[in-house]
Amino acid sequence: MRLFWEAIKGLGITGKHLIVNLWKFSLYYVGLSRDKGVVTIEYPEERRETFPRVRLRHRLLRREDGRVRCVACFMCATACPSQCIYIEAEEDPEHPLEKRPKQFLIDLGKCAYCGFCVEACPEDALRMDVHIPELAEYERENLIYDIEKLTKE
Amino acid sequence: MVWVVIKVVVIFTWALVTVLYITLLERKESALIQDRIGANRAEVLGLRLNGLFQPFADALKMFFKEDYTPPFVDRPFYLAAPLLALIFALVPVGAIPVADSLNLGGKEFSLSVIGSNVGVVLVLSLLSLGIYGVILGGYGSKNKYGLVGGMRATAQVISYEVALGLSLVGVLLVFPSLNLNEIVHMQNRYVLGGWVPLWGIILQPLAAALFLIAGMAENKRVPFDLPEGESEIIGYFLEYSGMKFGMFFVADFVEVLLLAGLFTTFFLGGYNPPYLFQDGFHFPWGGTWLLSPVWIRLIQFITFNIKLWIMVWFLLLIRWTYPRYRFDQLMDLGWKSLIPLSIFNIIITSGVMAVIK
Amino acid sequence: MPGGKRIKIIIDGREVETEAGTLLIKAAEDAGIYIPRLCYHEGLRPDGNCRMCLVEIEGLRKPVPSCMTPVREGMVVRTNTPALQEHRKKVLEFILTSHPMDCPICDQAGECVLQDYYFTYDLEDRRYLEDRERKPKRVHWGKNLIYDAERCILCRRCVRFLEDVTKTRELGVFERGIHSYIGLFDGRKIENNYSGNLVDICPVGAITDLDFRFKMRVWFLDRTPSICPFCGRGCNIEIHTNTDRLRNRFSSQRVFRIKPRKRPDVNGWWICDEGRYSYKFIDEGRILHPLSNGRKITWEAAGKKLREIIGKEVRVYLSAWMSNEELIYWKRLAELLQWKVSLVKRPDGDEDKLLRVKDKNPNTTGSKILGIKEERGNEEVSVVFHFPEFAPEHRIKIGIFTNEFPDMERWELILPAAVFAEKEGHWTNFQGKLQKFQKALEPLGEAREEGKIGEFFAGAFGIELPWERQEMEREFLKEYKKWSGS
Repeated sequence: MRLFWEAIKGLGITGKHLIVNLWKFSLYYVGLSRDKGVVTIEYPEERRETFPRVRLRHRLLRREDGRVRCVACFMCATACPSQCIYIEAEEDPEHPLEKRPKQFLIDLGKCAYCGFCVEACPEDALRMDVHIPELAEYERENLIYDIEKLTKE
Repeated sequence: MVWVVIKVVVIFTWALVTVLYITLLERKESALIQDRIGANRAEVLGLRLNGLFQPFADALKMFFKEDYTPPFVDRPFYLAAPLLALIFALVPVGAIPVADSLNLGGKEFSLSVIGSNVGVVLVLSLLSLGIYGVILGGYGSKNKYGLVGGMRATAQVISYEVALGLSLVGVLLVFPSLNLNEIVHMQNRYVLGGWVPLWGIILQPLAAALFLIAGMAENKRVPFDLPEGESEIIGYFLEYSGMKFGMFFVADFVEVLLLAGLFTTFFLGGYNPPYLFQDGFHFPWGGTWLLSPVWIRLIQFITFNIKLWIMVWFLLLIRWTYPRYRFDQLMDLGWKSLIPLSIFNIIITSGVMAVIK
Repeated sequence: MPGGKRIKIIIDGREVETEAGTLLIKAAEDAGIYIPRLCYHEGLRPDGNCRMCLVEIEGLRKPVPSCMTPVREGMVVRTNTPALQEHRKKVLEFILTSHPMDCPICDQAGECVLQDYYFTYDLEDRRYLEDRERKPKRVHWGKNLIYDAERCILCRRCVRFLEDVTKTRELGVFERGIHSYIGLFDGRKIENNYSGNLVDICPVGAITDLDFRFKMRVWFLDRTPSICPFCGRGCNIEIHTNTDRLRNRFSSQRVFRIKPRKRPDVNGWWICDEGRYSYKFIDEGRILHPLSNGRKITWEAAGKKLREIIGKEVRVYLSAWMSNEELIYWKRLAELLQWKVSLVKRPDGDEDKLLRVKDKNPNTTGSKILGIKEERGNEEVSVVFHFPEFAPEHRIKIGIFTNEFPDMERWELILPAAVFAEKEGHWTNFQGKLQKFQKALEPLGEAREEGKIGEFFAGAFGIELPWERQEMEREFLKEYKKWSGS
């Protein structure tokens, strides 16, 4: 008999949620209330606020004269635990900093977003984004970011 | 003949649209119970209406999904199973009276497709035939899980068939007719100064509870969804995809509609709203509101729908509240509780009837 | 001074026995006590200009440079007192006032002695706030050398190397004090055959190698001891490879550089530039699949093709680039098949007094030990190793080659062989020394080492002769003992 009452109580709980949420959401839907009542975040229109310490895709920074800050020192590639950074260095004939990256690839498909590369960078050339979480691609190859993609605003 | 065709088209269209919206209600209600919003993205011409068109999107998706038939199945059984499941769920819907019969030029026209005099027996027999779709699906798939699902379904449905039938015996004792329309008529009586309607649920509360539980078990939905058990064996439709799966799926919801409709008919006064008689409303406080027969049929149809939706809502609430039974518990509930209780109900009812007589 | 008197000294409380006249720094190193040094190099005349190697000797008031001090009987030396540590710190601080902090772009980072010492002894921030002295950077010294005067710590190792070892004297120290730098004498370029060694002996990144410049950071490299195959001396080398990391998806370079390995009785500390810069053939232009008249085929198809020559007269041209083990294995296989055996090798080249010898093959001596002679035959089928130019014309030609060459479609069958860096074995150098080279890489493509190819031949002709390198090594040692005994 006790179990029977428990069962009825269960119905009450679900029923209460149903009624309360229905009421609140209906008011919200017709614009009479700002309280949605439900926890759903309707993603493309609404977004969860990102935390300031969140780590997302990489950015390569440029110097004042437009050169990539990176000097291809391989520190990020050394620190990288998932070995997803590939760098090819070359001679920079004009600049006093003799070295520049010919190719700088980050395979975001392999990246663990640990941020060690940012920590390791001696030139402050590499940083990580905090705002744009959309990194989905149809092809794995598109997740390999080169200098052009990494420096794009 | 034309009349029958029109009835078939109208009633089954109504049934299928209702079923579509039962799926929407299920999604929305479960969402709200779980503090979510539920499907609200389906859009027609920029109009979203919080997901009102979702069922049509679902149906379209079902139709256009790849329909894959595994190479190892027993083809005749495999193909017949979803059809059988759907047909045996849909046909009894035709027997439910959605409005009173219409008297045109001295001839009675039933507004339900099957205006049979033995409607109760018909519905019960068709319900028990529905198990063929399930067991054939499980067997024809040649899949262990499918077969286990089918076997469980058989055991469960046969067990609860008994309780379902016995719980109705009490009702039939109170309303002595096998014609569903007649049963509805007999519920349109009032006591206590004409205030309280003598609905089945008031005369037979125990039978109502038993019928509801047994009906849900027949339905194979959540507290009794052992044949599916998506977290353990997937169930009898494991090897089905595309529209074939869709037929099983729709059959499931048609059964919800059927259960709600039968419950309304047997226990909630059917299509009659309180105080509506052959010629219009006669309120207990003395007011009357006379209406033409067509208007009355319309009001009855709307009333039936309202009662139906309340029942569906209640069934879904139950479905989203309770966890699944264990199989031995399920059998205990069926054989050790429901059947003895329904027999007890029959004895008490017949005793009281005898005393009153 | 070999053969000198044995004497005993005490270094850091340990009794060390050494020869009279040995330099203190060497004696300590032999005993396992490392004294930091910048200008001292074992293979060069000591100079004593960096003052890093100062040690305290009991009875002397001031510390003395251990690289300029010969040992004396009963010397009591301390190498690591707090005063010395403080002293080393100051030396480093003085060097670092004018040394640019550009380790991120410096190729030497990771194997830079100055970097190591900074982390061992100094670890302090700069106190010298003036501007650094500006000096020439990116100076091409000829061949593959690039000089950066700002990084230079003026240890004069390079100057001494060119004075003492090659005796060509292209370099000198110019200007004075803080302005001084190393420079070429007017009109000179460093074009001798040993210029690459300057990169090795430079303790910092002042001299870097244009061939290796910016290609790879040194800590990503795997080092495998090996033997240089380009002349009969068989200089001891280290192959620096990198095969893991993302790199292989975008580039096919596996070998990044060759460095010498110390072996005083063969090559000392040096190797010549030919040995240093000729590693490219390991990765470039390799034959990756068996070829039949220039078309790619599988090894099974190659086996079928091989069976066509059964019953014909065959001569095998073994090469002087094969290891001792492979030579003896193939000799045995040829005996079983009743094939004739002869030798092909690279023609003789230039020689000099330092390392390079006339014979340009690593294992001519080994073939001599086994009695394989350079002779040509007129058999119908010839199986040629490594050197396609020796094949007789108008005959069925089967080749076992490593690298591509122009008219490959004229060969009935070409089997891809592994290069020396992809297998293990021994070579006998011109002095008769057995030297082991180790496997640094996996064979590229479908290439197999020559021993495995021999096994493949044996299989194709239905002979049971499994390729077991250690077994063959023992067999060769028997021959070797006979040879060296006579």
